[in-house]
Amino acid sequence: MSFNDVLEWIGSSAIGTAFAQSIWLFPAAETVHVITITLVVGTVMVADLRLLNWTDRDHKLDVILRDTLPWTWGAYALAVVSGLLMFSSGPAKYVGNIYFIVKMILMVAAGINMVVFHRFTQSRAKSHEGTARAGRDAAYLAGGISIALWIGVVLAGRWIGFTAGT
Amino acid sequence: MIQDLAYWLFQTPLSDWLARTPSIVPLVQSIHILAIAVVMASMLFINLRMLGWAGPRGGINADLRRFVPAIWGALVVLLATGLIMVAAEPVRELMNLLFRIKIVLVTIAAISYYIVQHKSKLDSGYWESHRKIAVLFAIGSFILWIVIATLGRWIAFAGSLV
Repeated sequence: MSFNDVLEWIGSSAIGTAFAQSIWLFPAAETVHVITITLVVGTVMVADLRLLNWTDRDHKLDVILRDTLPWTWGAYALAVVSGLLMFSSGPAKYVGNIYFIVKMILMVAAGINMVVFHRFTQSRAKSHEGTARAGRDAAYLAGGISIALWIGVVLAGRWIGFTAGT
Repeated sequence: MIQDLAYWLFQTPLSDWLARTPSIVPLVQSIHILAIAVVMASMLFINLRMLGWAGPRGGINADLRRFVPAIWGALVVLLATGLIMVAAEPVRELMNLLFRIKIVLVTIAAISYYIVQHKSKLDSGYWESHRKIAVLFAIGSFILWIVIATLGRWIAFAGSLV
């Protein structure tokens, strides 16, 4: 089964056909997508601004991450589901859209940034409040990269709507 | 009257320029969405605290100080970008029922944060000692913002009055 076969299969599935034909299913999924994306980006920003040491300096990084991450992931899961439903309405249209490709790459990069941070940097960044300069700089970097990538995701996402049609 | 305003705006050089500059509308919309992200996260964390679902760290006032200023800042950005979007497509926005309902609801939301701040300024223990009002505010505010965001998206699909 080739990649194109998979796209073909998604587009001609019951869900894909329903989302392509219904006048309200796509906007409904898009509404969920926009709301959950704003929750993802907003909650990520709270963590990123703490990483950058711009806000919440009186709270430990671990505490902020514990408060925000469950909401980020919960909203992210809904954004992925609603995004897949929108995608099913015309897989070929999206795969051929440069902004869609850019958005996917930016999201993968944001994911890698997160994994790298949790695996390698977080233990060092805990001493953010302390003196370890390397850990602090790595936290600044992770926060800055994350904010930039998520702003890029929103921009690319908005451009998909203008270039791939609805 | 609103209709006259919409058609007058449509004929201004600014509206014409915005409509003819291809990237300006999606760019302004993206900034609008990023400001909505700030509001959404802020209202979420304020509401969780009001519901008592988040721990006691610093209490409700501490979280109001953390997040309400962010909401005010975001509302200014939303108003500025919203005005540009209206100028770019005045008839589509002003002559839309969902747009008009949205503006009324945003105004109510803004007033609610003024009241919330005012209450805690007058009595710093207000929200801790009025649990029922705090819970009602949290539930109402959450529903209000979800409805506002939903209306915002549906302006493009429904509600046209012309």
